[in-house]
Amino acid sequence: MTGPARLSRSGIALALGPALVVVGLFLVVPLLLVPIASFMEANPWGGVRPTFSVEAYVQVLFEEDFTGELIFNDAYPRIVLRSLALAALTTALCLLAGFPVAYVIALQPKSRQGILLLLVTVPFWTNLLIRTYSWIMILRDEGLINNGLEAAGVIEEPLRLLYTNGAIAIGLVYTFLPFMVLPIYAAIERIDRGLIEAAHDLYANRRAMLRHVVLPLARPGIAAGAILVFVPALGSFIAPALLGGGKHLMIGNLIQAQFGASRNWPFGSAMSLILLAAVLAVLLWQAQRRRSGAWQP
Amino acid sequence: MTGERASPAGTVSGAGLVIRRVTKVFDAAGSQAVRAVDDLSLEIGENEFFTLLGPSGCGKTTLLRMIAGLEQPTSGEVLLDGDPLQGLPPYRRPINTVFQSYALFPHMSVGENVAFGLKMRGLDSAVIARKVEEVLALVRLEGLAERRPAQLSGGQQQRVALARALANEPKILLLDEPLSALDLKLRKQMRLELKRLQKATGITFIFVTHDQEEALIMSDRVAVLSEGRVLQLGPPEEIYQRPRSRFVADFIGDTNIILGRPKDAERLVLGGTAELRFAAPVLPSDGQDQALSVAIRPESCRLVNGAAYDDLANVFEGRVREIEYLGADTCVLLDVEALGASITVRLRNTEGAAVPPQEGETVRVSLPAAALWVLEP
Ligand SMILES: Nc1ncnc2c1ncn2[C@@H]1O[C@H](COP(=O)(O)OP(=O)(O)OP(=O)(O)O)[C@@H](O)[C@H]1O
Ligand SMILES: [Mg+2]
Repeated sequence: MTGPARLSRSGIALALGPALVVVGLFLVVPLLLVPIASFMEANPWGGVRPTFSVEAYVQVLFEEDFTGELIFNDAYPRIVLRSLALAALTTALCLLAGFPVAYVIALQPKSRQGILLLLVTVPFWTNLLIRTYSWIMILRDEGLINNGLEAAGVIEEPLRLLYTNGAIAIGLVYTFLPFMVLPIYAAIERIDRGLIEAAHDLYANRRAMLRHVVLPLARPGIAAGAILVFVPALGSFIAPALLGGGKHLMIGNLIQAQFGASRNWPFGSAMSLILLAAVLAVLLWQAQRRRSGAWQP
Repeated sequence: MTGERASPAGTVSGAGLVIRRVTKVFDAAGSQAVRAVDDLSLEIGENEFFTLLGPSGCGKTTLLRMIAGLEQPTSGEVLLDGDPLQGLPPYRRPINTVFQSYALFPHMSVGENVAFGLKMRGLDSAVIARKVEEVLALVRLEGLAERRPAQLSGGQQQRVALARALANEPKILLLDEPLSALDLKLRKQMRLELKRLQKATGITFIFVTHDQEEALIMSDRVAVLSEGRVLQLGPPEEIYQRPRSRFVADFIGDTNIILGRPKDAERLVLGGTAELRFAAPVLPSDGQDQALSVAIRPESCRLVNGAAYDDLANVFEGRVREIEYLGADTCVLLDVEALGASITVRLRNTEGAAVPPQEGETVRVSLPAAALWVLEP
């Protein structure tokens, strides 16, 4: 094997140049605009007025009462906490549902694995909005589940399924499951089959083998999947908007509303930064755990 | 429940491993089915160092995997101490494997690797700790228990694999070419260590190799396999000195092979008028016109000068085609017209031994009658 070809300094600049321009223009600049906007005053017709203000951050925790004094309001912190909880629940459910799927696919003959992986990605082929709408058809009072249960005589009154936290969680799990399955599959697929046989040879039944060999070796895949699910789930707004019925907002809905109907860009920007901070905190915690954990690649 | 636990050693008749008419056919979709093991029967006694020797693809690994329970026979059965192993998953068999690729768990330390089987059997952690230490000492890896497999040399990894299997004190240890990845020096050292371990532990070793030297050095008995069948079975001396077929003779050591037709029970006619005498009436005298292959090892051939010799010396003239110096030995390749064959003579390079002939020289070679044997057609 030969090592990677060496590039001269100017060669490196030339190769990376276009990417740096794109990232700079379309990622860094907008990202810098967010904190700037968050420290300005809202323009009631949209946009911001270029006056310095911390109003947006005050608004996150406090509201003015009729005398003009600030009193603590937990409405927004609760939305943040609910978002974190729902994203964590989504991640856990995706892991529970996704790991067995990934394991089974990885154990299939190579020729069949490709088809199964394709099937995992089938939901991506249609629009997310439409896919989430179809869950309304399934979950609503006259939906598939309630009608089915009623017809079977299990229930008399329709169950309250739509517009609950549960409905949001279902929608999120459905949306993000493939992001869990694919990295775990990749990790398990790389595990030497000989290790599985060795575990069996050393008196481990299937369960013990999974626990002591497959699970630890799949950990990098599980970590990647958890991040890929948790991060977008935390900021998602379609599932809570459609399946939460506006009563169960998540952070994403709140932000989206600020740039839409509420016309409060600074507040939306402030919430975005809080979301960013939450994601970074979780990622750092993960990285920390992995570094101190026993497993090393 | 079939006997997965050890029964008192050597009490029951039929103790040990019995492989009875086992066949394994792999049906690869699209291509032809492969008969990896073909109606094979073997009996392997307790405490035996048994070697399966054969060329690549002859079914050695497949046979081991069926004994371990990692593969199911297409037909036939495997019995341990009289009990069929059929249907028993690998984790219920008192059999452990040292895999060709070692298959060490990369996410566990050496100590954890060695403890794995004991832990799975639910042994007490103090007992496990003691056992791990003991076994690591046995394979001379003391002090490396904390390392990861990736931090070990190939030879050390191989010994961890061995320790991991030995720790369980299985009734049978299966070793699939465990030395093939090692360099020559380490391989030689490990051969002796394996032999020592086998004697020390009293565990039956079933050892797979395609290295004939390895098989001869270590084994109590050797089975030579080809195309999923046993061609010859016996102690190393017998396999080496009297290989029954041309395949075995060629596979184990170098062999001179001479073709001829029997004249009577003690004489073989070669080409023209030359005759090869045997020390005993060993030739089939009925089928007169049947061509036979006769074999002799290069080290049994001798170069003779004017010295006196009798009929049984079978002396012929030959021209030296090639000289090969091997250090301890010198090989002389002769074209012997009377035999219609080339004969290799292996000479010891001892102090004061006769100077080997030069290329192109004409010499006399003796094929002592007692060293000749007839190969099966
Ligand atoms: N899972 C399988 N599917 C199909 N054919 C197989 C399979 N395993 C082994 N074979 C075939 O069975 C035959 C015997 O294979 P096996 O691995 O037992 O050989 P071996 O004697 O161990 O060879 P080597 O010395 O190269 O390890 C080969 O022809 C091989 O291609
Ligand atoms: Mg093999």
